Amino acid sequence: MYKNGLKYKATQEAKKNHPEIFDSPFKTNYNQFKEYIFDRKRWWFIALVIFFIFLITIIFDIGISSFICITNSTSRIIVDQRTANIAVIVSITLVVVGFLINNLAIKNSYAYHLLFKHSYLYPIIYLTLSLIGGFFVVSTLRDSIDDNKFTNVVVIGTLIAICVLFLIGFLFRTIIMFTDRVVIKNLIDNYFFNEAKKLLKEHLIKIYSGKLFKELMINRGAKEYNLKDAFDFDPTKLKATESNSEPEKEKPKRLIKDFNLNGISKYYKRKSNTQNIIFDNIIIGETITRLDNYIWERGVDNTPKEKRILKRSLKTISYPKKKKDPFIVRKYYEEQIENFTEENRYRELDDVLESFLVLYDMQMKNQEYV
Amino acid sequence: MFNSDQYDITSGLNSLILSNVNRSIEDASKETFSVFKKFIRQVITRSIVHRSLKHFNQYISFYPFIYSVSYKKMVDDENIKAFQKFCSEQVSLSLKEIISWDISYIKSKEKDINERKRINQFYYSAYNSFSTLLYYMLKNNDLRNFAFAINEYENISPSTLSNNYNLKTKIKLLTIENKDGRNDSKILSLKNELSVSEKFNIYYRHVLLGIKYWIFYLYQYKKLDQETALAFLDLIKTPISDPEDTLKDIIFFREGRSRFYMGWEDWDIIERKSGKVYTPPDPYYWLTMGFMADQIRENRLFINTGSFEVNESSQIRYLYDKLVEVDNYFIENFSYWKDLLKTENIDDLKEKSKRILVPLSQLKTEKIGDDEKEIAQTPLDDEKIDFFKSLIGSAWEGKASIRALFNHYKSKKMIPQRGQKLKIIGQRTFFEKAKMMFIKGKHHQDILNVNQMGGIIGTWENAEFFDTILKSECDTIYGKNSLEIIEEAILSLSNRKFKPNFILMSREMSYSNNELLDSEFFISKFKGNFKESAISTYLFGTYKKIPIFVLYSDYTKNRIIVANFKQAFTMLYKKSRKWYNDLLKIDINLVSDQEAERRLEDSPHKWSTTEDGVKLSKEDAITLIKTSVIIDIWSTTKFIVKNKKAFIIGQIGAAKTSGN
Repeated sequence: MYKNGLKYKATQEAKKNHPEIFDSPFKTNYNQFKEYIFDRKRWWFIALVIFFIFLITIIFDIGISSFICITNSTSRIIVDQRTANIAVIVSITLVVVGFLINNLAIKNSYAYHLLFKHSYLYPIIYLTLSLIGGFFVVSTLRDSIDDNKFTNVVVIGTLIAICVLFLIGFLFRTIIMFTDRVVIKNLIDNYFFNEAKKLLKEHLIKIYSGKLFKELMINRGAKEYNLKDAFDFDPTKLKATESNSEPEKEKPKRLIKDFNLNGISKYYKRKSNTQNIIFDNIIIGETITRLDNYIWERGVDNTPKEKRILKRSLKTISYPKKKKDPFIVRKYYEEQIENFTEENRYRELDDVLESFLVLYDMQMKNQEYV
Repeated sequence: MFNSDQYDITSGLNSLILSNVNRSIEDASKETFSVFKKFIRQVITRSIVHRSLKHFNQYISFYPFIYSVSYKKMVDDENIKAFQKFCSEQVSLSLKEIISWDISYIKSKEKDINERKRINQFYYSAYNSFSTLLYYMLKNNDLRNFAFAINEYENISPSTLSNNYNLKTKIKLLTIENKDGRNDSKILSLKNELSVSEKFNIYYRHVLLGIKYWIFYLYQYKKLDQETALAFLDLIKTPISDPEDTLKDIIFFREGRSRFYMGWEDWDIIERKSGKVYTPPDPYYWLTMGFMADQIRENRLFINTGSFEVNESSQIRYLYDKLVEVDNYFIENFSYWKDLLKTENIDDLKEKSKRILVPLSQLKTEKIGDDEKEIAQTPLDDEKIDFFKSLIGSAWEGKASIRALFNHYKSKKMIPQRGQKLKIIGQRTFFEKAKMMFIKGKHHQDILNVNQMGGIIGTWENAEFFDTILKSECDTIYGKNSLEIIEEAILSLSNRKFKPNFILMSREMSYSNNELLDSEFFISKFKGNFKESAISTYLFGTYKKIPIFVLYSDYTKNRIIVANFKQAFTMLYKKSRKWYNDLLKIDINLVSDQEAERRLEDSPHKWSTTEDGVKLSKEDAITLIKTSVIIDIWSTTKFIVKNKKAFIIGQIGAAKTSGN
């Protein structure tokens, strides 16, 4: 976000008026980082990290032997044992996890999804498998690696294996916690409120960006385009030119990411008559098709230079064909309401409705009248 | 661009909740229903705290729905009677609590008048919901639940009542002391305060009155039998309100606003089939009928119009007429209405209606006099007169097409004021009761389409021109179509050494004669490169470079005039700086005493009796006449045929012969 961008200004304004919706930048960035790294699709990232740790240890002598006394023959024995140990641990872990999952308090796909995510099951398994892989490679190359470096690799691998033990402990603990309904409910609520907050934030930025842009234009005497303008043209200024070319195809819609506010003054500098300027409102996160024609003078086409200014001021991306559903947890809760009502499970229904009440609270407190 | 639902993270949730509430009622599950009931109430409470009227409206409308669904369910399944009773009672209880606790608590803490106005909107929605609930109960003839609901309704504590009374007393006192106007601002602020504060009570009263009047209406259409109607009526105890309020209420009910108020616009006496267009009963009618029935039944109307605003008092004349109609209906159907109106015999009914109608008729007469006296005394306002002149003037210019043609061909001659006498084209109008258009203040009122008076003068001028040339005994030719006539006329004029530069035809001929349109010499106005000017509107195109004009006029029907305009015609006219654009005289004069007396002598019946048949004294009749004005509008012009050989009139339809 650049400081003269509409998005930055809108975010600042929204933050000022609704501080409780906006977390600190550190927390936001940390959460985004965590989301990215520990996603189940990022197996390659963990494998690469392990690979690089082993590689660096093999290439550079990091001098572990100076503070841990371990002979080369011992390390050659250890490498096979560790590989076997970890393999055993993995198999036991998977069996235990399977057993625990069978005894979850809430058994449905969303609870499983949440469990896997919250217990870091995928990253832990990826880490363990990567480690076994690492040990396979090291044990295979035992005769090609320098003795000292080989010892270093085994020690590092063993240290990581110890970490894995802790992580598996954490995994068991988390899964056991999931046998308690209240814990799961709180966790789902947490995700639910975060999802709502995120959406509310987007709404606020949309509303404030729309308001800000409109205010800036109206302060310069421009008028927002409406349906009336479409019919209320000035026939004396209407000009039509004959053309052999095919009619222009409708341009695909694009998503507005940001708008450089300097664009407005640049556009106005080129205009001698600023009396009849009309504009389409610019809203961050909404779509646009007329990238170079969202500000114009009534009855007059924008010149190529003016079009360029408008196009350059706008930062857009192509409209995603598949949009991410913003209501994953809400939909889950909605299904729960339907099920609980049907099965007359009124206590559980009450719990879910409590969460919806918080949602209503959040919306009402942060309502912006548009 | 924005819509409020688009940016709401709860959007759509209310529908989900509603459908599940419905399901819990279908399953007659008391526990599940209670959970939803608690949730609905919690959302409503929070929406009041956060002043979110949108969410409040979404959820407050659930209550009548819950009653209605549970009742329908009970009709199908008798076993759930107890559950239905539970639902119905919970709904009434909740609505009562929301009005008298939830909203009132927030309002009591709020001092800012604008915020309190906002809170009144919550009151309105809650009362609206209660009103709909009572309507559903009536529709179902559900006397048992109605009794419970109305009891809860009456428990709504009108906490602000004493405050309103104090405010009213303060205003009255200040008004009495306000001889030099020093209390004006204080009175205004207290009135504002009162208007916000009394809303609670107004809504409270209106819901009860609406329901009560609806019972009378149902009874009129035999949707309720007498016993049931009486049972329902006996349950409703309308508060004894200030006499001013009673009249203000009925006047409000009869205004357009009441049509979209308290859900009345949707109330109907029969179940309509979906997909068919229909009009539900008009609240305007049934509220008036119900008012009269209720006043006769309760027999407690007392009229005091001291605090009436002018616009309210003017409504009374219509109310009176309508009430007389209703009264006649009751007299005609006395036996049917006898018990419902609590009347012993027809004389008793007449006596009771007299008590209502007589004060209203007096009020009507009195108020007519007041309004008209003020109008008669108010001086004319220059600004309004100037505005009127510009309206008339521009309408005249729009229609005076022949004058525009004379201007275009520069064939006109100005005659000095004292010179040759010309024709006065126009009129003097005695415009009855039109003075209100030319005065400032509360009595000012515009009269629609008054500018047509100017337009008429324009068309008269055109008619005068055609009349002049038709009487000039010029040459007339006949032909099958316009092209033939034009060709012959051009030839004929050229033979006489006149170069034709003007063709005029009627507008209908311009689109019904394909021969002309298809001719290679014809260029349409839309195709040619014509300059924009005052006569562009009448231009149709050119034929052999001669401009063709079209006009709407009886004189031009089936006729075509081909001429060398300047050599054929001229226009003489007079100018004055006092006239509109120096050309059109527009004067507005008051009616003098002598003029008024003369008019009264000429038509005494007309002026001494009002539209409603009320007799006026001579003085009042003169006042009434003096609410009129005398309007002079005319132009001073004369059209002259300079040379009758320089133009030819062609006529379509007859066999081709030549002659006059």
